[in-house]
Amino acid sequence: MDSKPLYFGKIVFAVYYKNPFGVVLFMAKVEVTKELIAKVAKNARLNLTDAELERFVPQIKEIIVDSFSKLDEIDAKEEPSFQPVAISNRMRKDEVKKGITQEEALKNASAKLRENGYFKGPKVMK
Amino acid sequence: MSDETTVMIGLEIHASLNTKSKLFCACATDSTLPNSSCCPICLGHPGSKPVLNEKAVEFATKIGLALNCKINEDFFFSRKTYFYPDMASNYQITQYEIPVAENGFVFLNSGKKVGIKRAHIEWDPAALVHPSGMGKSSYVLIDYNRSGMPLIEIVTQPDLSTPAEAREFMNLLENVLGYLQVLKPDTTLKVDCNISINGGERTEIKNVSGFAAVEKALTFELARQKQEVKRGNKIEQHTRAFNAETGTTVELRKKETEADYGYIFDPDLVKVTLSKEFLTKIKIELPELPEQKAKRLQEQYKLSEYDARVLCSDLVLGKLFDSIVSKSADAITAARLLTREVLAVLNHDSLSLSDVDVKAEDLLELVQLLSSGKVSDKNAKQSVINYISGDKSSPKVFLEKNNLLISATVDLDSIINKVINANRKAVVDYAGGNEKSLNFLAGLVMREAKGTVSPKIVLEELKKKLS
Amino acid sequence: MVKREETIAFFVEQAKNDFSLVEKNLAGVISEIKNSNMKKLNYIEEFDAADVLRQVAELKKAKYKGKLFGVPVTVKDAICVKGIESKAGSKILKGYKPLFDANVIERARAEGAIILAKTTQDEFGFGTFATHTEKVPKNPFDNERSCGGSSGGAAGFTAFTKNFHVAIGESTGGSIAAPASFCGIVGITPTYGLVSRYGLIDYANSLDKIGAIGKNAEDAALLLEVIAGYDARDSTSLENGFKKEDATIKRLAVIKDFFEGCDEEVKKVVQKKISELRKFYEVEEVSLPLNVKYALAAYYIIATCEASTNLAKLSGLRYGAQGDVGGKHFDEYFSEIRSREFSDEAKRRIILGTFARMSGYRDAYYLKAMRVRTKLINEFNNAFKRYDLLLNPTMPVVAPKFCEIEELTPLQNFAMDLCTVPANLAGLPHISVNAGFINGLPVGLMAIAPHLQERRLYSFAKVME
Repeated sequence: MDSKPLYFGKIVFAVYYKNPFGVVLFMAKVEVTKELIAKVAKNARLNLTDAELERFVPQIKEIIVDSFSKLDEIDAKEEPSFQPVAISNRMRKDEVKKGITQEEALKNASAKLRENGYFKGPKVMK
Repeated sequence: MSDETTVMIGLEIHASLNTKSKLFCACATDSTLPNSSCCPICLGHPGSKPVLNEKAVEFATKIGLALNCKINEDFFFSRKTYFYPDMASNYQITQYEIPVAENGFVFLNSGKKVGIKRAHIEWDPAALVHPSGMGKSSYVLIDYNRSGMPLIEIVTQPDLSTPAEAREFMNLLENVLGYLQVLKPDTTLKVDCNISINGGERTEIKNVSGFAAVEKALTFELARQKQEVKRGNKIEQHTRAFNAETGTTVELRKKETEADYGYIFDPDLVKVTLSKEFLTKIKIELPELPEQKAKRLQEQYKLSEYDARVLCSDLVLGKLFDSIVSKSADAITAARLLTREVLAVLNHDSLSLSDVDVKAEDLLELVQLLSSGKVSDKNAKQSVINYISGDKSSPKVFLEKNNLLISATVDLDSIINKVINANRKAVVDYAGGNEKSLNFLAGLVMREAKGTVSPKIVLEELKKKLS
Repeated sequence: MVKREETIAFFVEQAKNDFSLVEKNLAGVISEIKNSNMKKLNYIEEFDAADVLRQVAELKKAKYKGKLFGVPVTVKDAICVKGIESKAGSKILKGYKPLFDANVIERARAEGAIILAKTTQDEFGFGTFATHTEKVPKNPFDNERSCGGSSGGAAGFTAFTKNFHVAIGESTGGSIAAPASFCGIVGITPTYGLVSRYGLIDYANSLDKIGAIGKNAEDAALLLEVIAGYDARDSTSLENGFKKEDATIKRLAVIKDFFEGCDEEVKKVVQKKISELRKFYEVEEVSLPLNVKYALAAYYIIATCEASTNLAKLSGLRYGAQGDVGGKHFDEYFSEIRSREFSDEAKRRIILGTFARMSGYRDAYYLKAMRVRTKLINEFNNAFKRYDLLLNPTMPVVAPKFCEIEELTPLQNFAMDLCTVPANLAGLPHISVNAGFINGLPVGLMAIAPHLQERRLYSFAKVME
């Protein structure tokens, strides 16, 4: 993606997203299609309208192809960083601490989603 | 005609660990009132953060060692994301790439080796209640007391070949876990059973409770798969549920519609590195396991391999034995009484030891009576039947009440004299080296004493008299 | 130069002996909040007057008078305050009243702070301009321009108020530095793990850091000192605090690659400021080629992956936006609530994050990004072998107009983070201070220190002022 200068008023508003080769020399290995995005959205329990799909597909494709897939350029044999600083062995003793009461637990649930001390939820059988 | 089908069965077992607090929060693990043992963490409230319970790590390590696994000294946790009303966060904290333990094995009684693929820790989802039954409710009720409880998941290699073997494995596993004292009391092991025939695709039967159910479910599914293949249908990988009432399995969902879990390292948690000190401590704390105990009983008490194994395969039975021999010298008699008479009565009435009130003191009395020859085997057996299934009075009380004890009222001495005098030829034969004559004489004595004397005592007394 | 009388420390010293100063100052901020013109600037998400008055009454009786005695503190909406609606800027958490205070709130209260209000932000921290939310905060220098994000309300109010106040903000990819830069004030993002995340509604757990925003470096540093510290309830909390040893700075380096993506005017202002620094320090140049090429990609992959799992729990049960379950299968119910309440930006990021960790893509994206991250942290650590601090412009532009922002694609939005993301990905502490103005709009200069060397940032900022 080349530099894209946008002129607004007196300030030059230039956004560079620099591709080191100047031009896209490689093709990202993934094919980002409408079907793929619809499938991923469904997995994440998002119902996308046709309009949303139309809008999202080019946006998401751009991000995956022009940004995410840049990582294909380099080799990385390093260990993955779980956190950016080294932390390990955080555990606690097996002791019970006073929790919250049933009423406190239910407090944030709407009146419709409570019943006799239980939370109410949607059914599991189709 | 023999069945040439090759069957592969693998099991995934979930067991609740016996910790005081939950896996990633300090809520109590025992509670009755719904949603009364929760906190923002196990309720999945935004802003809450998990902290690992060290006891769960200890238990998991013990389990791994007891199953002869390699313990991974560095491990971490992953998020398995999928949506379900019982998931407080719609992801489960579990272990994906690196479990606590892997590559272990156990031996079944037949000597067959069953591989243990892995054992890892994960948290339990909440409990769902279907107000009008599972198929008919229009909504569910959710109780988060169970949410966040620590589970161990043990996965076997598909080395089991029959439903009966699967059941035997489950018995063995429950026994080992019982010895380790890591299981939460009053919980059952839940099993996902995987089965395939002749190298085909496998089907998975989810969430089967109890060993009899495991065997039933696999038996049904094996027969079903064979039938399908006979009809010319190919088995496709999919998930099924077991209906305990009808003893059948039904299709739940196909493979393609299963969730893609999208595992990531749980970024709220950090790596765990088990120190050498920790591992040494755990190894020392490991109790004597069934296999080791069976060997020891054979060496220490000269028990038969069969008796030793049976005593070690049931925790309660084994404890009864331990209690009795700690006070009585006659281990062999005690072993035989437990493995034969007691188990025979239980099996006959389809009971298990946990269903009845069998006390070590009562059995100890009976063992002592048997050892000192004060009761015959036949009557001893009667007293056990009565103890377990009759009026439940203790064996000694039963025998006394029914005058079945061999007391001084039976003059064994005079009976022996009488028999010896009436059978001079046999006595002479015995003196000449004929053992059979001794047994002949003993038989006469027993008949005379109307079976109230133990053969052991009769032989002893006869020998004494005749030498 | 900041005058002593303008600092919070000075205010606290006076307030300890004269409580009326606390009441007067508080009345000042409250009248600002209630002012209808100020309301239109959208800095405040939630303000509970009764709760504030209760706090003041308690404070009046307090025996221990702490480091923030009587100081009104605003809190970014994503940080849980017990009993006060905490939505992280999102509709899906409408009505969620946490049962607990975040650790930073506990610490602030213990030092006598008054928890004043929640400030506006991009939903869950998803944004560079604080536009992805219902109440969009407006830049105090020019109301048609962005405050920067995601801690837009925090920075906007800090710059706007004429009274003593500090703000608790939060940064994942630059959400403290960016608004500090656009609003001409100071924002300190600490080392990852220095400040407990207990009580922070997550964006990306391995990247989120709670930090301090103030009118000057002293104020921000004071707040940071109060809220930092080990918390056993956050497994990623560091046991060691920031390093207390000598904070002398000798040699700085300018990260030249980061300049290349910046607006010419911004470059000039920042370079001029840096040249002034040559009076005090050795200033050289350094190149971080791997970071400039790959930090954005690695960051957005990791951040969206983690965020997509964090946001999975928001499905209309137990808190927040809830509906009617009767008769619906859970797929239907969950999808309904989520599709209705999440903004476009949230949906996009959930999709990106779900994609990048799906089987078939997980190795190439999620796992690769986690490894690349290690590589990038190593590149920074190498630079720190020679240099005490690294410098760059905080943002490539001054605060853009809202209409200009609407023209950008999501990827162009992401690209605005090119200067702040590398330090955030590496969990390095950094500060943004004002370096000058272009047509009355502030320009920020950013300094990055090695892990736990926050004190170097304070010394630097003092010299800058």
